[in-house]
Amino acid sequence: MSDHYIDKIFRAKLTDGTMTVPENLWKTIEPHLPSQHKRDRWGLIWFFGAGGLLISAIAAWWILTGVSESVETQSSETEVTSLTTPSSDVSSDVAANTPTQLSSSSIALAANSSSNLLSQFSPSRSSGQSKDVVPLMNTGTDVSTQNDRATPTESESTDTLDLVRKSLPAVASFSVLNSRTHFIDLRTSPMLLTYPILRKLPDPAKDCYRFGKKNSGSGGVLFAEAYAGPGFASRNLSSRSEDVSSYIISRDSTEASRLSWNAGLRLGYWHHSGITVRIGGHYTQVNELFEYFNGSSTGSIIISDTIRDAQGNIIEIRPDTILVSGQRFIKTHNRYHTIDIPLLLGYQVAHGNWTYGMHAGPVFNVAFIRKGDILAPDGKPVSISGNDANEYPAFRDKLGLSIYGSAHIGYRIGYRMWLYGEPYVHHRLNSLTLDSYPIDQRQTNIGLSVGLRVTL
Amino acid sequence: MLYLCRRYAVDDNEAQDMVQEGFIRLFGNLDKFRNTGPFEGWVRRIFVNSAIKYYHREKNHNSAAAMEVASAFENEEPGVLNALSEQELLGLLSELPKGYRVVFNLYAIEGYSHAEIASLLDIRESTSRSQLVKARKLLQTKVNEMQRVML
Repeated sequence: MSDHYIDKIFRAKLTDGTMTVPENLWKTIEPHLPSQHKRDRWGLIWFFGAGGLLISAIAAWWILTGVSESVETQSSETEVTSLTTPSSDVSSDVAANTPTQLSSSSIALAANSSSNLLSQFSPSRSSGQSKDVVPLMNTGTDVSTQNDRATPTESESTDTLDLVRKSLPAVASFSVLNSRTHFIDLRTSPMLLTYPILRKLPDPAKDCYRFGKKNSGSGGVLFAEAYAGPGFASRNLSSRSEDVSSYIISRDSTEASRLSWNAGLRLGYWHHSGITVRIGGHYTQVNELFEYFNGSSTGSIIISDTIRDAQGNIIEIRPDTILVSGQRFIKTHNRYHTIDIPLLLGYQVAHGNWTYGMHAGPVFNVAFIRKGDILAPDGKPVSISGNDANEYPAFRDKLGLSIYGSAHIGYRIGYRMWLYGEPYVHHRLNSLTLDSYPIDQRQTNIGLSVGLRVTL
Repeated sequence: MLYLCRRYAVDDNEAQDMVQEGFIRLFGNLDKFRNTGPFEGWVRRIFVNSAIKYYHREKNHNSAAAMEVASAFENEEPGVLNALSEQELLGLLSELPKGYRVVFNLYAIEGYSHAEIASLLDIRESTSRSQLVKARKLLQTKVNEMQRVML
């Protein structure tokens, strides 16, 4: 260090001076600041790409397993709790001419739902046929069932922090205070969140300049959100024209709401003024439990016996119809899947590590997929599954416009990443049911989404 | 940092230009800070470099201000200089030709060596030395002029 007296004087007086920063200086700086780092952008692309695939996979799994699971449920949960003896019109000829092996090995079950019926019925049938058995080989018996439904129903780092703290006065020394100076919260400014060195900044110093608001130029930050969470669907059934109050009561008594789920991905833009815009994809699965009980149910089973000779040639095919009666209990987990595109406008503010906001807007439905059963107006259970050939025409395939509103609170958990919770209300403006269906069914979803937000 | 830049600048506007460039460089290079030294020093160095870059760019446009060096008047008494305020000292610095001012700032105030200054400004060490001496002489001359006016 120089010890010349001029140098000393200048060094002593000019080393740590301060000056007032003109307010318009920041307006010229801010537009030139780099928006983000490419390396981080690739990381985000990978993150959200993987997240999107995961959510898509889960949604696809839910939808696809809804089919297979409902079939299994049908076999296991559709039960005939008791059966009477088969009706007297069972053909005795068939019994008399059917080989003894018939009951034990050669009945092919055509439908799972009839297995109980058949297994309980067969012993009585085979027991009465053992006398006049012709020594013929029975090679196969086709059994089909017919129920009181058209078809079987389907169911379901500290060092850095210290350094920054120590150096803040130096960084901020240009902004000597005056009454018109505005300050920036270095920890929460969306712009500055993109810089790793500032992400752990302590409480905003008073002599820091504020980007955004009145001082800033135009601009904001892009962000992406991935979320999921539980919910509850509230429904309202009303008569469309004729008085179907008893039918409404029947449906309400057989269908009960269960926990629903939602998940989604959104892209958003957060303007420095606080205004936010979000758009994305929103998936909802509404669950209901359908329970049906009929104490005097009747059904019929059609059996075709194929009789062959010793060489295996078919001698005769004899159809047989068996009527059964008993109690019938159906328990189905109904699922209503919807995929929507929300377009949300909101206001969001940051305070320290926290963000608060509200947003609302229209939601456009792109798909409505159903699995399960409901009661038809005639009181019989019918399928509402979209992939069922015998689907009862009650529901629409698309639900049109709905509205969504929510509030959220978020907490910064890392480098440009926020964890947030978002209670929401999602109301369907249109009926879920077709105009031809006598009941107008409306739905409102209430839930809580938990998600991650990342500034891009 | 504005104050730092002001020492290198001829006026407030030039200082603001330097600050602007300095902050753009600072935010663009924050991820290069490796925690190996004081953050404050790293930031100062960025702003000094911005001022030097500004000097490099401007020196081609402004012919080396043909400010003649006043005849050497080696007043070894610092009394008058000591009495000058911060603003007056800044004013004196501003009146220096750009080359003198940059070298004086780097050497006398920032503590750079002539070798470092030569490297930063892409000049020879001897040039750095001579610029410094001339800067001091010119400053002293201006102080004396101020003193005469006051008297």
